Amino acid sequence: MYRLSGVLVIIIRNKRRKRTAISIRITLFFSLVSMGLATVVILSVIVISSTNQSYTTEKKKELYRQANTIAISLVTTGYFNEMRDKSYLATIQASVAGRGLVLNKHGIILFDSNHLDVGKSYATIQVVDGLQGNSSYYFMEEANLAMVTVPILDADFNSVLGVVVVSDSFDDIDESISQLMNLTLLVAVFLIVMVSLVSYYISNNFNKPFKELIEHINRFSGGHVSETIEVKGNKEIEEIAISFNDMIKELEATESNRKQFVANVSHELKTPLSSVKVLAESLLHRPDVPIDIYQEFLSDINQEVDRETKIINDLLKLVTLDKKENPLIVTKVVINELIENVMKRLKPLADIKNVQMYLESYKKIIVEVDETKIELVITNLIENAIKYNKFDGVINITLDTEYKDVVISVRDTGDGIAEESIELIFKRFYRVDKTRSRATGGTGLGLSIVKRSVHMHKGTVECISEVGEWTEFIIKLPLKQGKRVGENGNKDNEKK
Amino acid sequence: MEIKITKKNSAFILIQILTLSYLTIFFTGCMNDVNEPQSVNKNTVMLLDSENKTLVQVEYADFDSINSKSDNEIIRYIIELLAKGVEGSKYESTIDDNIKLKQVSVLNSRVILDFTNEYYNQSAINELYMRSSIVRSITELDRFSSVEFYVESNPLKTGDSKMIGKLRKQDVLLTYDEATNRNEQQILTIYFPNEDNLLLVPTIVEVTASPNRKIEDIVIDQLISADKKLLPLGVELLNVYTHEGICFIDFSSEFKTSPLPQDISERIAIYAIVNSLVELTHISKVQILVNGKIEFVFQKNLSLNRIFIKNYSLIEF
Repeated sequence: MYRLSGVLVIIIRNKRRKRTAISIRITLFFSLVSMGLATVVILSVIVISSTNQSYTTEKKKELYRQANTIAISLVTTGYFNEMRDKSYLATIQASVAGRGLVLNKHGIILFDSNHLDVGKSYATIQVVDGLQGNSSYYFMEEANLAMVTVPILDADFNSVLGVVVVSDSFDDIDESISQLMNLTLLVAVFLIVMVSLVSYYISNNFNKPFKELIEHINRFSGGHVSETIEVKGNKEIEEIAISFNDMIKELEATESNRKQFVANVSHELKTPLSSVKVLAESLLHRPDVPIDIYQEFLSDINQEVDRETKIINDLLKLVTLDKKENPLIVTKVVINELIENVMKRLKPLADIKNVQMYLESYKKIIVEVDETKIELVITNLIENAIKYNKFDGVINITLDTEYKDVVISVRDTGDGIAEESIELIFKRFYRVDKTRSRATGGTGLGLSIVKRSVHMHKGTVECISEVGEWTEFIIKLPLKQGKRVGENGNKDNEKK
Repeated sequence: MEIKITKKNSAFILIQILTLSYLTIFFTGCMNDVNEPQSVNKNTVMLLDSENKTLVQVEYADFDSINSKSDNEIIRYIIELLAKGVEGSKYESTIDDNIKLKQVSVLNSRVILDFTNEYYNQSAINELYMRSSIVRSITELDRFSSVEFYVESNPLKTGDSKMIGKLRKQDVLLTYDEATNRNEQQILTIYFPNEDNLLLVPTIVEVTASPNRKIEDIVIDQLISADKKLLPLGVELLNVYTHEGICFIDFSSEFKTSPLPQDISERIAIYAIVNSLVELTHISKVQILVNGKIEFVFQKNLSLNRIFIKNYSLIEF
């Protein structure tokens, strides 16, 4: 059923992907191309229009310069004197690019550099304006011609003697602009081709590692779990690949832990049952069993059932701790008293091996903790210290504060734990020495419970040991569990 | 195990199509009130538009009565209209009240007007308006070709004591557009090679051209585009101008590099240009440039490093 729905989900996703999502390659390609295109077009428009603008402005200025030069030169060379010195007129044509006209104050043309309109009258608004002392610029779109009209002022600048009209065609500017446009177009086409090629290359290369990644992920989904991804590309892509590989490793580890755990649980649960079975069978198959044998065997069976119950209880505790919604019920606890109570409770167990327990504490420490969970932690640690201690051994429990933490250390005088095993002791069902620990009646879950509970309190647990000499567990718990801490505890939960 | 990939729908990027646009070049405008003369015999006079300071055509009412009137009566009627203006409108009179029309005479289609001496008392600008409006209003009627002005029986002179003479319609231009968008007939003397290409024949050519074209340009154009080619093929005129009687012609490099048409000698080519240009009254000498530079040799032998004057020995009479 689940598998089926999974297939269904994949089909739907594939369909949707085809319909709406566009490949990153195409998006990237068109983004780059349109960016390039926009840049080229905008640049071309700016260059062309500003060039046109500056040509036009320059032309206008030039026309004014020429007109005023003529107007002033006519006066200074004495054209308007009684002598009527006409020598300057012969230089006008060379000094204007287009056409130059000199009009008297009655609007009659005295000189035309094109020799056509002499004697004619211009009664135009610009000439009248000029005769009143104003300069003007006029552009005729149809003829593509600009005309500048300036007054000829006498030497004292008191009266207007006439006007000078200078005109010039804009054809040369238009030609320059059209040449520029052709050139720009050529460059634009070249640039767009270049941009397209580069964009195509970039977008293709950009896409390639993603495709590889997707392929790998698909293979992974298809069951090739142990495969690792090797994707070469940009930093981010490589990071994705590395993260993905780490994720796969983590998943693998989790998976193998789970298998191990199931195997361990099965084994642990089976052992007492096997014993019960063997004991029960031997009673059943033997006729005439004396009553004391019955009693002995049943008492053994009873012990095995107790063991089974203990394992199941521990497993249940662990499952409860694993639950995400399991909150910490934080209260203020005098940790000294808590430890003393636990010690008192475990005194009979210690007495069996004649183990001496000492609590070393210098002050009363109040800690915000979930009392039941921490009590379990302390119980487990001290119980372990008793179980794995030698006969007539010693347990030293110290209690202290360090910065914002309370530090609880439990040190026994047992055989110690080999360095390579220290990492593993917090794993479920791990035992340093299986035969021995079975004899001690442990379930192999105690330290797992310790670690879980401590982590929930945002604390740490550490184990140091000297083989053949001693083992010490050090727990650090924050003195105060803020709100934030509680949340962190939950997060911690998820992580583990 | 399923890895969920959340896909953010990528936004579509619209390719912006930006249209290349020319910057429209400056307009000064405001010359549009003048209606272009559309047909002859329009019943209009030119009055002064007081807002725009331009002469504009204003219709007058009783056109029908015009045909029945004599020439003198029509002219006096028009002058009266010009002196009156249109009351209560922006169209003002162009003739000062003090100036009186003494006499009107019409010879064929020539109109002769004699004004009182007050004509000279008005400002130059008013004189321009008055003269222009009279000429254009009268010549607007087909039966009158020109107007001559007299003051107290003497020909009108402007400030620089120059006689005005008779004024035709085309002698009075009211806008720059009108002055520019017209073609003027010109009569030129162009020297073309004779049949055996040994001498140059002066030929009268009538050309209609824009007043904005230099006359030198028109002359050279006649030579370049002549049916019988006489200048190096593909040559273009880059610039031409006259400075103190010397005409400077700037040809493109084809003038030197492109071969001359068959049977045309260097001398014939050069003096066709020089003699044609020197026909123009303001030109006496010619300097030929190629790309703005003075070249030492034209094609093979002839030096261009000198100023040419008219060559009479090559002219065929």
